[in-house]
Amino acid sequence: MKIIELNAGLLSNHEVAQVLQERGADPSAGLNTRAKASEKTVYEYLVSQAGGIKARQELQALIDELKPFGLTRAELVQVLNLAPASAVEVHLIVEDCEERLDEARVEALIAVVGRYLARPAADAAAAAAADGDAMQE
Amino acid sequence: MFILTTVEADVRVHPRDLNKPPLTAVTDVIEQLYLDKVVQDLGLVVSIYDIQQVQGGHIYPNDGAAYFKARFRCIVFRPFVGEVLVGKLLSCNKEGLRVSLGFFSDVLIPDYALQSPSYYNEEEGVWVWKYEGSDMFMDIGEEIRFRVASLRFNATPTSAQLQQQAAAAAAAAAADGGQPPPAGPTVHSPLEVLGDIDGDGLGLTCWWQPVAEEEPAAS
Repeated sequence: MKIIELNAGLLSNHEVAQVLQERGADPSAGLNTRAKASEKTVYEYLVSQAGGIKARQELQALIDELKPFGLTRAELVQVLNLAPASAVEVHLIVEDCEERLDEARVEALIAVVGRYLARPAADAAAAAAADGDAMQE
Repeated sequence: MFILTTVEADVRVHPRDLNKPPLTAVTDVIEQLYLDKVVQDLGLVVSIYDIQQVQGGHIYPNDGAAYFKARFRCIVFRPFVGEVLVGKLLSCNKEGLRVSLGFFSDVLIPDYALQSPSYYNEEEGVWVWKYEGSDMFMDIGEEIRFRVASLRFNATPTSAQLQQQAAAAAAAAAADGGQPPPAGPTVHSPLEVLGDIDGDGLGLTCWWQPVAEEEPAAS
């Protein structure tokens, strides 16, 4: 076999999950689909990470909103995959973060991501924290 | 962590499948050959994206199978160096941690790549990170965020190499104290991802949750 083009494009987890869903890797699609067991495992992992598949249009809107931050393609894909919810995570993803994005821009990035890619686990933790604070007061 | 790769390969369709439409037969063979397999120096093929071109279909004398040349794109798991991934802690031993990504379980985090200072707790068999005086245990099954340090492709061992490995394992076990070598063949990992969790935000995700409790603050 010959590899014609090693890297025809970097795919985000959402895009891969969508391809797998079309092939029938969703557990709700039943047993008689094109997807093999390994693809179902991959789909399971991706869904557990993102907390659900986002449609292309939503992702496109998010990508457009992230344009002014000047992220490279790799950083953009990582933001889509990891849905950073804190400054620490943004510093991990973006190289030379202190030089390129100051604190306010980092907060703005987190806000934009939070609007589109709210992670259910993080939401539950935030809700629990809010309840805890309310009870203490 | 996924890339799209265009591949051209020779596909042999067995005579029993010649009643299928050619595209279906070729797709089935490609899926069988490539899906969930690691291609050397490429990565783990996760899925077929599309078939771009199928040519040929010649049948050669003495062999009833049809030979096609297919060009297709596949989705390959190939994290780039420096990428941040999230997985579950599978197991640990004194050489380091093993993390699983559900579909891929060969992510190794060697002992030198752990948050410093970390030390291995022999009784419980887990690694512990000493952060500002408190012990942060790395328990099995916890979600862990790591950065990819490098990818390592291991060539499939030939039968001669396998025999050498078995002999070496037996010799080592005998030297240890006359115990029999571990039963079963050692599993060969064609692709290993070496990670590191030495940095802010890396390690167990629960360590870095922005919750107002006693978790370490990200500073």
